[in-house]
This record gives sequence, C-alpha cells and structure tokens, in this order.
Amino acid sequence: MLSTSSRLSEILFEYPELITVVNRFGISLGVGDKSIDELCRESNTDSAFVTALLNICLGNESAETANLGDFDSRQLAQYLYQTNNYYRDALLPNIERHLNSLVNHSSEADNLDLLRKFFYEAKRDLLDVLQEDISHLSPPVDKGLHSDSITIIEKGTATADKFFDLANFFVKHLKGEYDHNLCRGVVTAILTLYKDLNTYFTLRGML
Amino acid sequence: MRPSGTLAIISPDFLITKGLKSVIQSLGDYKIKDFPSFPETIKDEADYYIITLEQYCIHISFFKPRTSRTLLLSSSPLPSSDEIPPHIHPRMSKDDIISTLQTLLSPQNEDESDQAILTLRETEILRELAKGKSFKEIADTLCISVSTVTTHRKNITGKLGIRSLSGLSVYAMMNGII
Repeated sequence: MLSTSSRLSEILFEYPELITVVNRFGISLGVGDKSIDELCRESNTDSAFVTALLNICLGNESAETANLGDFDSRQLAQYLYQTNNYYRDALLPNIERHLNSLVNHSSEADNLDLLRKFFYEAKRDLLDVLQEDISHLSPPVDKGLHSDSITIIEKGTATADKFFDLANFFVKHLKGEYDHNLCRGVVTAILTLYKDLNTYFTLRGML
Repeated sequence: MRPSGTLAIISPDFLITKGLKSVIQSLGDYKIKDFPSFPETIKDEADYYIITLEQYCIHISFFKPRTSRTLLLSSSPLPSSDEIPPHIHPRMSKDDIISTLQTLLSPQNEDESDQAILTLRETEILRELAKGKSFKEIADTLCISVSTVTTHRKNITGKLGIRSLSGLSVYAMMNGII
C-alpha cells in the first residue's frame, strides 16, 4: 500500500503504467528521490488524493474503500477531465499508430483489416461517450449519481468491453503470422486503455 | 462430490439473505459470505455474486465483467436481456428460483475461457446475431424461446471471451461463419 511519504521514483520503477496517471496531476518524469507528498506540494495537488488514486490504480484498494468521497468532488472531476482528454489525445492515437504500423508491415492483412475496422468502431463509440461526459466534468460539478451519469457509465462500460474484445482477438483468436513486436505493441496499448477505462468509469460512479 | 465454491450475497435484507443461504447450501458445499452493502474487502475473491439490482447499478463496472457469475435480486420481473445478469424476484416460484440458482452455479460457469469450440446450435445463433437479428427474431427463425437464445448467447460469450455484439460479428467474419 502506497503512502504519501512513498518515494515516487521507486513506485514508477515498479509500476511504469502509473507514469501517465501522475502526469495527469502535473507531475512529470525527473522526480528525483522526492516523495509523493513533496511532488504534490510542488504541483499544488492534494497528496492524499493522489496517493488514494494510485492505490486504486494498482488494485491495492477498491474505489469504494478509498473514501474518495471524503475529498472535494472537484478534485475527482478535475482528474477525470484530464483523463478524458488524455484518452483522446494520447491513448487512442497510440493504439491507432501501433495498429496501422502492424497492418502496413503485414502481408496477410485480411484479419487485421477487420480488426482495424473494429477498432475504429470502438474508438468512435468511446469518443462519443467522452464528449458527452466532458460537459459533466466541467465546474460546477454536482455531486451524486444522476441518470445522465448512469447512462454514461453504462455506455462507457460497454465501450470498454469492445476494447477488451479487440485485445482478446489478438491474444486468443489471431490467425496467421505477424510481427511479434508490433503485435505486442498493439495489445499493450489496447490493454492499457482498457484497464484505465475501467478505473475511469468506476471513479465516474463515485462523482 | 457435491458442487462447491465461494459465494457473496450482497443485500441489506436479512430474511432474503437467510433464505438464500438455506437454499444454496442445499445445492452444494458453498462457502457463503453475506454483506449488507457492497463490501470493502471482497474485490474478486468470490466465485459467484448475488446482489440487489440497486447495488449492481452503482457498482456496474465491477459486475459487468462478471455477468456470468452474478445473479440479481430484483423486487419485480426484469426484461430478459443479454446485457444484464439473470435475476430472481419474490413472485417467482420455488422451482424457478432453484433452477436459476442452479444455472448460476452450474459447472459451465466455472471456467469461461477453457472452451473454444462452439456447438452447431451456438454457431447458428452466432450467425444470426452477426446478421444483426434481435433475440426475438432469432427465436422465431430457429423455433426456440427467447430465453434459450439468451442462454446460448451467454455460453458463446463464455467460450470465446468476446463480450460485445460487434466483437461477435467480427469473430463470425474472421471464421467464415458469415
């Protein structure tokens, strides 16, 4: 379990997937030997909140037990807002880049073309959900689960399932010989997004 | 050997929990934990979950990936849908409740990933789903009930590990089913 006094460099060595999470709080690489608390003070962020989120991302704690409700809902909304933009600006283009590279370097591309079309469908669905959600995340944020939120969470979870399916096609159902490294890049990029989406919509339910 | 596993009942209603425990223990050697609300420490340690509809909606991101291992407690009948887990409600007969519980706890639910081969019937259903037909249309085409179609759909998802309808269509195309 991480605490506010944990040294961030040690955490990022062990869990590099958290780099993107701390980035969303304005903490960039080059963290030296500073603790979460010290880095959060520099970026004017609540270290207890950041630590709670990192523990949730690592599965050390469930969103329900982390008592995020004790924090200002604006903090959570701000984090989700940053995350929403990050999906659009970084994670989705990252998958697309890897997928295009794989298709372009493959001679037997029939299956891959289908999977790329499936990706574009999932991407379009996700962008729709993110676009719909962004207005709810802008201040002032009303606390409490309302019908719009439930709809967004349901749509978002269904969209996350499509990304799960996409990864599953590569891991379990892919036929033919493809570049191993490029395939790994695609799967890693998709699963990174899928796991992050699950956390996003869990946290979204707490707003 | 009697079937076994761990099961979490999440309901604030003491009597319902007590009654369910009694019925489930008659079906096998299940280790049952009960919680009045979504527990803080359970995470993914239970094999099966029985939970109120309200709690399910609040924690949908947790339960959605566990649909085949989840049973809802509803106060009234819910429409049959592949998007939500099966449910029981107070107006169901004793036999129907037991049958639904047995389906939840049946061995085919214990491993969703170890069966990649679809039966002929499942392949037929998959083909119709990939064509974009509704459960009702498929039931009419194949002369079976909608609930049978729903069950096949769940089994297909369990075997292939593919959750979305679009994903199933892609699988059907990749494998020459359509």
